[in-house]
This record gives sequence, structure tokens and C-alpha cells, in this order.
Amino acid sequence: MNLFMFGTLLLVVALVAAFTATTSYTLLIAGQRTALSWGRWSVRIAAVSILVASLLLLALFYFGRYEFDYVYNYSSNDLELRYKLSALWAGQQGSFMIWALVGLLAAPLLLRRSREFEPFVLMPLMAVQVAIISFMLINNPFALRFDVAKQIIYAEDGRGLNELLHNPWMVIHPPILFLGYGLLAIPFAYAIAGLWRRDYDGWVKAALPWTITAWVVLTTALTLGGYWAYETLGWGGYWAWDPVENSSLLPWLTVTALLHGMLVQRAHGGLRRANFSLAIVTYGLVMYASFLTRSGVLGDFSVHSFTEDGLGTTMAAVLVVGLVVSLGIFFQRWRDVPISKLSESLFSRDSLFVLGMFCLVIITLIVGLGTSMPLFSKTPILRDGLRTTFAKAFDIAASQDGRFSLQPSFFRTVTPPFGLVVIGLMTMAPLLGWRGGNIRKFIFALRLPAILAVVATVVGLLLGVRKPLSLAYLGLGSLGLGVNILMIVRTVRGGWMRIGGYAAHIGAALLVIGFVGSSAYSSPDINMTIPLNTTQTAFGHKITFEGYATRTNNQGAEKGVIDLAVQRGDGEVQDAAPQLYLNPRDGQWISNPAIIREWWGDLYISPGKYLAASDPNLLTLAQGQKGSVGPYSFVFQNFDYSLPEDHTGAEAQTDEITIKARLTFYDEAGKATTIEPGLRAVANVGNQPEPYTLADGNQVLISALSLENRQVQLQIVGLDLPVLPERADIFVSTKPAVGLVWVGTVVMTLGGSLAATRRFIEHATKRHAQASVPEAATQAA
Amino acid sequence: MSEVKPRFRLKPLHIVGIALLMLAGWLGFTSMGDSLTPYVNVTEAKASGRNVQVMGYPQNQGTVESGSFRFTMRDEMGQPIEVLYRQPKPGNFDQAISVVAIGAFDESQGIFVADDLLVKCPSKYQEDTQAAK
Repeated sequence: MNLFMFGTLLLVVALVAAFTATTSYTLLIAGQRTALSWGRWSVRIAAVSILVASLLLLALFYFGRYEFDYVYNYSSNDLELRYKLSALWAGQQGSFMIWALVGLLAAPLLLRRSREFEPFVLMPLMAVQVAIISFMLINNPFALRFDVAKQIIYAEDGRGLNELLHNPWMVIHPPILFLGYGLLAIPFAYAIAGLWRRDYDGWVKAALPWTITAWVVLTTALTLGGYWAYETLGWGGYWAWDPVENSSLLPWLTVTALLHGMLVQRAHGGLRRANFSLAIVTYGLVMYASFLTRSGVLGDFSVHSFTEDGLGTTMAAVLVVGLVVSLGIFFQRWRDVPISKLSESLFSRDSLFVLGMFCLVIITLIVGLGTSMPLFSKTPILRDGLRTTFAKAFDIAASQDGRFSLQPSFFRTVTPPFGLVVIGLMTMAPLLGWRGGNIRKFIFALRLPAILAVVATVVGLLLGVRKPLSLAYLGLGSLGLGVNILMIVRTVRGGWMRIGGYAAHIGAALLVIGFVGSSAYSSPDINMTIPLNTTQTAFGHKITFEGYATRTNNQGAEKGVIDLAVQRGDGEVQDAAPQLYLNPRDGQWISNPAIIREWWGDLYISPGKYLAASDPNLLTLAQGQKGSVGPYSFVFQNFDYSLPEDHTGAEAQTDEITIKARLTFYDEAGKATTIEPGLRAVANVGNQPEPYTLADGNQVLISALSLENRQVQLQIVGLDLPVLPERADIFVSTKPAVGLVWVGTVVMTLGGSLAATRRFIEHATKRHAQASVPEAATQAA
Repeated sequence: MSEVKPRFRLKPLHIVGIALLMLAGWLGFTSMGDSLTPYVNVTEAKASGRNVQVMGYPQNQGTVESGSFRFTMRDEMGQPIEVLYRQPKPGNFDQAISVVAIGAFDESQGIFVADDLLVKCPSKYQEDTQAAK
């Protein structure tokens, strides 16, 4: 049995086992007691099969088995070990493998923990795994490469990994993202379980810790992606509103709303229907995100989307069926779900939570619909309607193709006001009780944070922040920062486990202040060309170009490093070395920026190109090409040479030949004449140029030529143009306050981790606090 | 509270919610007009003054100027257009099968000024089967 069959067999076993598990648990629910052990064993078998399949694929990468199509396309012999192994998730088949693995490793953990929920949770969870494993069987990671004669191709080496992915972030970013996606299946499964069992509150208690964990993991994944883009890809930013980035943001937005809804429900019931729909929609969006990025619908619109692979239809079908079934179950129970009244007062934590969740949903709709435009405008049912509507509304001539997309400016315009509302809510909600609060107390508590906010806004004004929206962000962000610090001080006495939520909000406040600085106030790129050993100034920094060096790394890629010294206003000098290199495998130029970090933000230096020293008095022309030196222009017509003939008419052996280059010469006034400088080649003596003297006394001579390439190099004597030294062409910009983006997300995820830990402990010890707790220690996660 | 229980009473919360929704609708609609980028061919791009996306096949390696890059491409119909991209030449341009230029046609210069360039290569993230055939 060969490895292809073994690998495929593992996938088939996993598929059958997952299907058996789904069926067994369904039977168990229907009352078949014996089905329990069947279900449990099938879950374990599926988990083990996928684990072995993943390890097998990893081994194929490790040993460089290039007869496997997937390995051939994403790996090569010269890759460093860590990238050889990371190549596992470089393409789609492998990323599905990781995704299935996460879900199936979580499943055995849930077997006993979920107690009475077990069959109801594992049934939907395993149904999801059935779908993911079938994607893998459609697009098999163990597929072999065949030639025309159906023979297996045993290649010596693979095509290698895209140079952009040779990066430590490649090792961790994708698996964390899929871990987040896999974990989001758990709240979804619990929601279906809750509906099924008519246990409309219990599922929230059980799923809350998992939901927060999924949120933490997803937040980390998005941050790492942003940091990768910023630090090494040289895209100049951490978030470009690219369709692929946007689609991963969608489930994050809804899971954020979901966990807040769960907190309200935990505290005193309420939002039950909202939480069911959010849990279902979140997982729907995970699937939708994969569909958008993998089906190829965005191929013509996104910088980093996968190309067409034939999975699109299957994924769309799975998504639609899954949503129809889940929502069907939901509407079946719709009238059965009890409603608990929320506070009537707008000025209560209840109402503010609802508004915050509502804002997150609005942002999800904006980003989701905006990103989906290429897909909608391609869908036959919608296409013509959209085309005519928008053509009328915006006075756009309808195009033949009919597809359209929205530029990032759309998202940059529409989302910030809602972010501002969310920040405002984050500021007020902690100070209020669930049912409402004492306004005087509320105002009183705001006094210290208000001072902070005023100071921050004034500082912002002094630093040149003028846009009203940005100032509002700065003020409200710092107010939120102050309030949440205050809440930590108040709650830490009741146990430090309770501060997770407030800490997460502090992180969020820092994050938005960072957003304002680094996006609204990042400078436009300054393009400068610095000659060797000279200094130019940008943003108060003196930048000196100290040289250029290439070094070859172990993959044979030549890395060119532009060596710069950056001197700050106060005299401190730092080295900056942006890199430029050519990947010999696919000819891609890769540039890595250099970042000088300062307390106020970053100085961001992207390499444009390195220009070698050149002599402008020299001009190389191919036949028919036009070029200029100083005031003159030349077009190279052809070479003119004749070999002496002997008496038979054949070419005689000669030791001397004169070659003339026929050129059209345009003088300063643009008048054209034909000139013919020559070159006399004498054997064993060398070349003797025969210059052509122009009307103004300057000379044109041939300094080099190539007959077979039909190229000539001319030298102009007499103009004496200065020789150009080596130059570095760079783009410099500033990214104020960008550090707050990273600090903010770190604080946010740490706070989230703390909250998740607390909820796990709480759920395990089954201490469910009553809703009526004193003001200071309310249930804020 | 009246005797007859209305099924739904408008609360301040609902008013705020509706206001937010209206804000979203208004913002979305107004900025859509500016950021909507149709996918067009060369003839349509020349006729339309707005931001568009044009797919084309590069006809040459292009010329590099200081801080910008210029090349000629033809669309599916074979219509040529000259593109000026105000950024350095993309590293993988020479391997490009096709490119998508995003920008607007400048009638005074008779040139398409691109703010963005998507270069479609044989090996972006997936191998391109067209290239192999």
C-alpha cells in the first residue's frame, strides 16, 4: 500500500468516523442508549485519524516527497526546516487539515466535560467536521503528480515556498487563526444544543469560557497578521481593508458581540434570541470567510486571495445548508424561548450593552456587504439589479463585465463613527448598574478620567491633531482608559480575577488611540534619493546613506541591504537597514522596511531601489533605441561594416576591420543628422576608436559594442557631465502612536485570557452568582 | 401605562438604534459613490472619468522612472492602454500573466494613472494551472 492510499484512507476513515459520530449522537438523542459508546469511539477514531494524517503530511514535507502535488507546490530542498514544516499550512489543503485537527482535538475534550450536553454538542460539532473533511477529500492533500502517460512524476525538488512567506510569522500566524476558527465551532455547537434541549440558559454558562477563549485566540491571530504586514511585508500599514483581512474580521466582530450578549444573559437572563443568532451567524461567517478567500471569487480584486480550485460551489452549498438547518432549528424554537425584560432606562448597563452589540453588528454588515460586492455583482440574480441601481444612483456608465468592488476608502469613511460610539459605550457602561444607575454618582466617578481626557485632548491639539473625529476618538478613548483603570482599582479588592474585562477595555482604548495616530496622522511617503555618504533630512531625522551590500542567504537569494544611519534631532544615531532582494525562483522582488521606533511612534523606511554608480557621459543603445546624453539625443540605426573579399568572393581572413555605427543624431535644437563614429579592430593590437566630431567640437566615440546583440556603447567627450555616485532610493514616512496599537492588543488579549480563565474556573466549580450583587462587584467579565 | 398593552413601545433605546442604523445607511450610501470601482475594459476606462479596475496583459517590461513605473497593456479585446503607476515597479511584474490596474484614466495625458496594481503571477498562493498548460 503506498502513502497516497494510506493518507487518503486516513481521511476516509476520519470522514466515516465523523459521520458515524454525528449519526450516533442523533440516535442517542432519539433514545438509543447503546449509541453513546459508538459516538464516543467514533469521535476518538476521527481525532486519531486526522492527527495521523497531519503527521503523515508533515513527514512528507520533512522528507521532501515531491511526487506529492501539495508538497511539490509549497516546498523545496533548500528551505529551512521551520519553513519546510510551516509549508503544511501554506496552501489550502493543508489549512483545512489544521482546521479539522483543531476541531477534532477539541471534541474529545468536550466528551465528558459537557456532561448532559454531550450528545447535543457533539452532534453539530462532528457535522461541521464532516464538512471540513469532505473539502479535503475533494481537494486531496495526498494527491500525486502524474504526467500525460499517467505515470507518477518523481521530482528532485519542489517549487518552493513563496518568498513572502519565509518569515517567522508564517510559522505561527496561520495555525493560530485556524485554532480560533476551530474554537468558534464550540459556541455554535452549544447554541444548537441549547435549542435542541430547550435549555435556553445552560448552554451560555457552558459555552462562555470557550467563547472568550476563541475571542482571545482570534484577536491574537488578527494582531499577528497586522504586525506581519506592518513589519516585514512593507505594505506600510497593519490593516489595508483588503478583502481577505476584512473577511477574517467579520467573525471577530460578531463573536465580540456574542460574548457581551452572553454576559448580559448570565447576569439576569435577556438577549436569549440575540445570543442564539449571534452564535450561529458567527460560525456562518467563519465558513463565509473561508469561502470568500478560497473560492477564487476575489481573485481579480484582492492581493492575497487564493485562486480558483473547484471548491467554491461545495463550500457555498455547505454554508447554505448549514445556515438553513441551524436557523430552521432556531425558528422552530423561536416562540418557545422565554423573554426576560431588559432595563427600560437608556442609561443602564443593559441598554448600553445592547447598543454596543448593535454597533458591532452594524460594522459587521458594513464590512461584510462592502467586501462581498465583487461576489454580489457577479451573482446572476443580483447582478443586473445592482448594475442598474448603482448606475442610476451614482451616475456610472454600466460596464460590460458588471463586477465592481469598493475601495478601502469606503471602509475608512463608514466604520470610524461606529467605533467612536462603541468607545463611548465602553466608557459609560462599567460605571452603571445593569438596571440603571445614579446619575450623580456616575458624574462624580467621572471626574478623574475626565481630567485625563482633557489633558490627552489638549496634548493632541498641541501635537497638531485637528480633525474633529480624531479629537473625539482621542478624548473618548482616554476617558474610557481612565474609567476602566478606575474600575480595576475598585474591583481588585474583590479579587484580581475579576479585572479581566476592564483590562481588555483598557487595551481597546489604547488600541483606538493608536489607530487614530497611525492612520489619520501618518504622514504621506516622502520619496528621497540619497547619494552615497551624503545626508538628507526627513521628519527632523538626518538620514545618511552609508553603502549597499549584497549577501547570499542559504537559499541562494541575494539580499541587498541598504545601510542607512539615522540621526535623531537630539543627536542619537541609529542604524537602519531596509532590505531588497530578488527571489531567484519566481523573480519576485521582496522589500523589507526598516523601522526606527521612537516613543511618539515609528519612522518607517521602505526601500525603493538601489542605484549603482553611473557615468552619464556613457550611453548604451540597442538597435532602434533612442537615448540621450545631456542636450543630445541619439537613435542607433545599425552597424555598418564590410569584410574585404578575396578573388573568389568569399570572406578573406583579415586582421583588420572597421565597424561603423550609424546613428541619427539630434542636437540641442532637435535638428537631425546621420553620424557614423567607427571602431577599427586590429588583431593582436586592440581596438582603435574613430570618433566623430560634432559641430560644437565635442566628440562621439564607440567605447564598446556587441555585434550579436546589436548593441553599442557611446562615449561623449567634451560635455564632462558629473559622474553619478551610488544612490539609495527610499520612501520615508512616520506612523505616530503605532506602538499603542500593539500594546493595546496585547493588553486586550491578556485581559481576555484572564476573563476566560475566570469563567472556566467558575463553570467548573459551579458557583453561579446571583444577579443581585452589590454595585461594585457586578458581573463584568 | 395604558390598559391596552401595546405589543411594542418605542423606547429611547430603539430611537438611538434607529438613529445609528440611519447613520450607517447614509454614510454607506454617500461614500459608496466615491469608492465604487467598476471592473471595466480599456474602452470603458477611457470613457469613464472615475476610479476603475482594468485587467490587461502587459505588452512590455515597462520603463522605470524616478519613483514611478510606466508600461503598456492590452485588454481582452486587444485594446492597448498606457499605465503610469506612481510606485516602484512591482517585483514580480516580469513574471506577470496579467495585471489589474486600479485608478483612473487621465484624459489630458492620455494615460491611465494607477494607484494600485494587482500582479497575477503563476505562483501567488496557489499554482496557476493556466500557466502550466
